[in-house]
Amino acid sequence: MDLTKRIEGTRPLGNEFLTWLMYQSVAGEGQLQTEMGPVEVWFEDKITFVSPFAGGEVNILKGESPAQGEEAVTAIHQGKQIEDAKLSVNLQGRRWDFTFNGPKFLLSGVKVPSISAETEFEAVIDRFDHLGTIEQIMRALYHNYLKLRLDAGKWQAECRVIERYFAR
Amino acid sequence: MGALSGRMGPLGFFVKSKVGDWQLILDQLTRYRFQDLDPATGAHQSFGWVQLHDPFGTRFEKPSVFFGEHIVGLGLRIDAISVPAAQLKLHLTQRVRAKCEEEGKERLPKADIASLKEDLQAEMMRRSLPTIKVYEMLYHTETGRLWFFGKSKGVVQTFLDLFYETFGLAMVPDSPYTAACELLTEAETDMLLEIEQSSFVAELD
Repeated sequence: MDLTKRIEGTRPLGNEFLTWLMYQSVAGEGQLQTEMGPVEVWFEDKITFVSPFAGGEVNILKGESPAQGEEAVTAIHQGKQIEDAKLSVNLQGRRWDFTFNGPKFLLSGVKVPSISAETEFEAVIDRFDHLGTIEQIMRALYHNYLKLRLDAGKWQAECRVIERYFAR
Repeated sequence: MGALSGRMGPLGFFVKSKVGDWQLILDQLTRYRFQDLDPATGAHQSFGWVQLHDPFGTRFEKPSVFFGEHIVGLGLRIDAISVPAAQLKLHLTQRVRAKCEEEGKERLPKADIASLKEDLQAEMMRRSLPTIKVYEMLYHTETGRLWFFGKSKGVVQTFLDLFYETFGLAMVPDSPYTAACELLTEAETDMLLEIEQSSFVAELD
């Protein structure tokens, strides 16, 4: 199978990852463990759910903490998964705000922690480092998801836990 | 949403191999540097590399390209001249009218109008200043991580083509699959191709 087909055929993993991540964030009150250490992940004021079925319906949830609201639960009950969401992530006192698109695996609108560089040269290096770090954090979270996802038994158990949580 | 200030919204890529000879790349950057649009050629667009901090800087030496030991920063500058269709139409109407009066005709043949339009378009292009757009690129030469700060399809394709011409290296875009390739073994990424999406909805008994 060529690379383009592999890329296109696995885009739904990005929706599933974000939906799983929302559960992890809500159920764990934002506290998650990664290979980079503990991180805080919060779903902020905009989440886009899409139906995986053809011509999929889109629900855009806005407002304060939509991840914890009834509309998010309803969307999941309807089989919808997250396309993109505004997130904030904290690692060791540093905070990033951004939108993450799951199927594109794309960060946008990234606000990095404040930079104290004195020259343009240093600022480029600092911004590169901050962008690299948030990507590493997202990859570490994705790795957690993939490890579960590839273990059929553990993933089934995880799905049951998530189903029960959202059936509350 | 650029590399240098404000919020960032880059497209991410992984460059699949490393540069062997940086002097060759610096020469290539000079070869594919930005060059001013020459309206006399009839070209509407010109593009090429510029320094990251200077859209007019086209001298490429290691200190102007490298930020620290491994980060390469460059700008892709794209200049374009466009003649607004409504303005062209107004001026053309006037030219056609003047020519009719000059030749004592009521109408001009289609071919003459087309010729007037072509001359007018070239003249308006010569008088216009191009719009300048610069899209930044940051590339970590050790990890192969590359960010390009442009998103429109045409601009991204121009960048991909120019990068390949200049560096001779292929790259793959970010996606759930390519991100997984960085984290898993080949056998594991193959397993991902067989996975069906879970719904997180309890099945009915």
